[in-house]
Amino acid sequence: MNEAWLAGDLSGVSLKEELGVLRRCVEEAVAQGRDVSHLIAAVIHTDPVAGADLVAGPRAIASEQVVQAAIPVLHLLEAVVPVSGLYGRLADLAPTLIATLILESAPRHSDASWWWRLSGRESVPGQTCLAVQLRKSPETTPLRALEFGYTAAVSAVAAQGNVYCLRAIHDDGNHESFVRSLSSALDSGCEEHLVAWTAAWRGPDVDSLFAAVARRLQSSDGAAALRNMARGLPLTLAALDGD
Amino acid sequence: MPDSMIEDTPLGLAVLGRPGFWPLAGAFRGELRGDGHHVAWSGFIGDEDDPVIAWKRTLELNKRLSQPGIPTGDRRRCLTVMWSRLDGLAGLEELVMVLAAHDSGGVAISAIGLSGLYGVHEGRLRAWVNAPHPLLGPKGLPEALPGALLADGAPKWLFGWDGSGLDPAGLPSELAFRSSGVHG
Repeated sequence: MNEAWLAGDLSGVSLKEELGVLRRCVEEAVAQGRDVSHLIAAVIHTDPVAGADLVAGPRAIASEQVVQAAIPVLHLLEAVVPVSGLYGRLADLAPTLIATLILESAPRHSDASWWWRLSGRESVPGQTCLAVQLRKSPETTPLRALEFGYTAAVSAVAAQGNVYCLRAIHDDGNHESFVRSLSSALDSGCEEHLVAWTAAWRGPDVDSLFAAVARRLQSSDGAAALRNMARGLPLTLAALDGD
Repeated sequence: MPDSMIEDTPLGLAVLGRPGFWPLAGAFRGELRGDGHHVAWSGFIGDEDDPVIAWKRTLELNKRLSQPGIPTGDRRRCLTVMWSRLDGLAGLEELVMVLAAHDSGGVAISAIGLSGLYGVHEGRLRAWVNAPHPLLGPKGLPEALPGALLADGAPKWLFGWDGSGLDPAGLPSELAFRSSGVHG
């Protein structure tokens, strides 16, 4: 194994002619658990096309280490490879790094459909894109996530009391899911005044809605939280008292 | 006001949501029913940015209006009593409100801060009271009681528009109910 290469020293190397040798060096190093980050970075810096072939080409090594090593210099690969294909291929090679790839590419590509679709491969589809974009554009992001079918991700955040995700579920028209999300949020200790926030988009007639929520609550803490915000809602208070 | 919209039933009142992500922050609705008469109200407590503060203020306002029960007397007196219940309540500088009382003689309607009142005609909103009209005045509770419009009847539903966003004339009634937060 060429120690100089592993250290990132490619002096005198013709990447076009010796890429196969380099690839074998990377394979051996990965097999031995050696650090390949300097070598990968050096190849990409020296010749991004050769680097793209090494880390994302048809014969690329399916290795978390290799993809991880490429992440700091992905912007160089983006200049020579179509980005949607690049990230899709890297996700194929290292599925455990999908969230990292999404986070890394977010500053440049978060408006792109392929970026959102990449998140569809996560264990909870859409969760990283949702988390990233929710901070940037809270009003529009949950609906975008729902457009891609990431209902579970939106529901999970809504169940933590995120009012934007709650509203998206409401606007999506699934009343049952909305009631379930509200009750989950209250049971999970959400401190938002969910009655007030719901009224701010749904209107002041929220009593029967929250009465339904009250009947779904699983915890005494959730019931106490709802009781604290149910002033002026007689049906809800009655439901909390067991009707 | 078009005669074709008039109905002789207790009327429903609502205000159309405002533009923005929290279109009904600070919106309120309520009603009181008595023997042979009915009082209803709807509006916005103000331009409150914080929906939680706005909600709490609407509770105070609704409590003021509803807790003493339905006023006695004819529909005109009902309006006078209802307006007087807001005396001394803080933060009504931006109040938008429509108030109606209905009895066997017809309806009395009073409002502040509205740019128009709309009924439903053939499934769409149609102006019931057009500006300029004494009923359509500036926001905020005035020192003198707002005037009242007396009529034999009114549309089953009246939608108040505070002038924000597009003129709702022609809006499908289904959208108007949704925009106002009136759910089946």
